[in-house]
Amino acid sequence: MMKKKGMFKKRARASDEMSLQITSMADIFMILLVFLLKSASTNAVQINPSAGVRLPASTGEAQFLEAPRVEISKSGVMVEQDSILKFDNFQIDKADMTPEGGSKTLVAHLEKLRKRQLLIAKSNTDVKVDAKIIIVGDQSMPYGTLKAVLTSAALQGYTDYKLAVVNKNQ
Amino acid sequence: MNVSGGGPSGGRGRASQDFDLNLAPIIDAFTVLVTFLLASSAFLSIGLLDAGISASSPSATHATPPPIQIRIDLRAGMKLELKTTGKSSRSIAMAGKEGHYDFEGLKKELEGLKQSFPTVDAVTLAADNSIEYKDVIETMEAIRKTQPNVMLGGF
Repeated sequence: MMKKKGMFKKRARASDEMSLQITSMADIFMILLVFLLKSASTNAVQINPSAGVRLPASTGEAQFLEAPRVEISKSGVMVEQDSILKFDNFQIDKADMTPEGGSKTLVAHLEKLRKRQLLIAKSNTDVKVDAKIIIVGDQSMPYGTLKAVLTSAALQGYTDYKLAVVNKNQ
Repeated sequence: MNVSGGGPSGGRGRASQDFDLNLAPIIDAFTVLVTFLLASSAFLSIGLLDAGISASSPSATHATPPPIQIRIDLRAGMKLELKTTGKSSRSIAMAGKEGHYDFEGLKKELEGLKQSFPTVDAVTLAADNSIEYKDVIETMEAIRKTQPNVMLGGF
């Protein structure tokens, strides 16, 4: 019992000179920083799908690419973050369909986009007008809807489709 | 952190050489960096699959047309149809297995075609309007193991 009392006395004195151990915290931060820097450098494609859009899983290549982005969700189609076409459960209004199977609204918007690209390319020779277009589609989308969107894009010369997928391996 | 410059005897006489390394600013910098990286990082790795439309496929631009054209159709009820036209004309229907498309059977057929016609490098993939996008992507993945160029068809 006497020994125990002595120990308590010693500890009470030591607490007066206690300092916060920051070294271990610095170690944790260092590990976090290395992990985050590593994961940030491997994400080549910066695509942030809207809420509710679930991309299909596959093994796609990470490519640095600048191209118009078309996002297809259950409620509509967005081009470069602008809501262009609205529908319910992927069903495009038949009145909006072109004879080729595209969507009139989408074709009109993509035409504007193409004209803008051509104007920029005229004044800046570094800018090339190409056929690339990124398709960010929900995995439950029926092929009929995809076909309508791809046809609309093809009518404006966008025939090199890049389908966004979630990489299975990572 | 105490860095002591004192000899073996130590003692209070040399206390001026004991100092604490100030880690607080380093921690501050780390906190800001970690917060920034957490906010800007994407935890999903997104890749891109190449596809074209069958009308503008690379096979169409060949100087000499390929010996065969391969077309794969996805049908409702997990059915796959493989059609070849040209030097070898045939049609194979593959029923689904355990609620999935028979990708193993498809791969075997495509490998056989690749051995017979090594110059063929493109396949046209079409599907019924009701087929889900994820099934199309899965089929594309299965095809790309033997035929690198997949064109979407049915337009």
